[in-house]
Amino acid sequence: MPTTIACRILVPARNEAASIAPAVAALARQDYPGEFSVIVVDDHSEDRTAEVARRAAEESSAAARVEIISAPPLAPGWTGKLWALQAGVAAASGRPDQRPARGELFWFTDADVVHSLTTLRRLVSRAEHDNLDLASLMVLLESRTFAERFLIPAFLYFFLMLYPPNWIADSRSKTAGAAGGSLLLRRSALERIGGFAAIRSEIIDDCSLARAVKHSGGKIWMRLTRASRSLRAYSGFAEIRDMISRTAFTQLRYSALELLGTLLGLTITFLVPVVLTFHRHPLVWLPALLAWCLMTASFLPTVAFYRLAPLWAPALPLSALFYAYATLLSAVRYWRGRGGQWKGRAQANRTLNRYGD
Amino acid sequence: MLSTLILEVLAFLSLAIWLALFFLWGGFWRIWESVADNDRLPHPGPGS
Repeated sequence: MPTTIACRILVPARNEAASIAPAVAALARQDYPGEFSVIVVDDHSEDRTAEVARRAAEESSAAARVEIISAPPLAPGWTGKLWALQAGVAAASGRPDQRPARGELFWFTDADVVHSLTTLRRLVSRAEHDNLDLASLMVLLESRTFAERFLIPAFLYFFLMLYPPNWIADSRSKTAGAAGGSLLLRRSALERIGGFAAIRSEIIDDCSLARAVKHSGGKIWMRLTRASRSLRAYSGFAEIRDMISRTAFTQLRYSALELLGTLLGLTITFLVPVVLTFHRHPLVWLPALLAWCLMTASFLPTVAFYRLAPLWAPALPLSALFYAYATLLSAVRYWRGRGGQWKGRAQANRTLNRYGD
Repeated sequence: MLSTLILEVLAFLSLAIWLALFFLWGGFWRIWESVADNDRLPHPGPGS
């Protein structure tokens, strides 16, 4: 199929030796009918990420498709992940006259995500069918430990509340979001926004990219999938708290006023209904109970998506309380000069052990 | 009396918020509409 659009798969990786082998093997064996290649950008890993990725490619019998490159030293003003992606795009770019006639797609994916073998074909089908500039899939996150079951479905729920997929796809809406674990982007759209340089310092890089593409007139789209899954496991509450607090205050644009509004909003929306349900006055407990019922009903589909027992749904207010705490912690850490921490290192210095979600 | 009035306002405010989220907020919670796994689309290729 010579005219099928070509795709370059870019995998920025930093200290991902534990998970990158199945990720690379699945990418190399995609059933995509057109030309595609995989570029793993090793971002100064201190473990054996590059070696493990290379061996996985060789064992997948598709080593010719996979290239492992090293990211150059980090340029000032860039986040590590965007700098690695920039390096991958540069490596994937031949001379303009050598580019495929029908344009080119980039598929950015994380080094700890294992895709089904049909994911790329299905994403490209959607992008071509709907003439999308950016199409992303929110992959299935781990929900095995108690902490994960308590907090990960709520993470998805809050994300969709902030970025409803219907609004993302609606060109009349300003809402723009994407999931960086699986993000397909047309080269023309990337060039139209000025490349990654336009968002080089953004910590929430996927949503910033979606915003830039949509504001430039591009069509964007985001959906969920169970067919691709993240291997990143969170063993306890502290790890998930740090994952949330890494970007929560960034989401609030480092504004104390927005932080106050968010905490107040979380309290009235998620905590007040529960507390007031146990009041003796019917004009208090009745509306409060109705609100809690609506909240529970709205969370049930997410709980079902994660194949958890329905009894997890009424516990959403407790998860919201945890998210409020993590958001407050995010602000406190920022004010103390420790913002954007991940695995004990500061993102502001671009010295993360691994990229956060 | 005053405190009960405040609690009534809070309770109805939270209910109003949830009615708006449930019915007007982009259907964010109807995630079965957002699951891509059941999409039926043509194979990418010539003419697609």
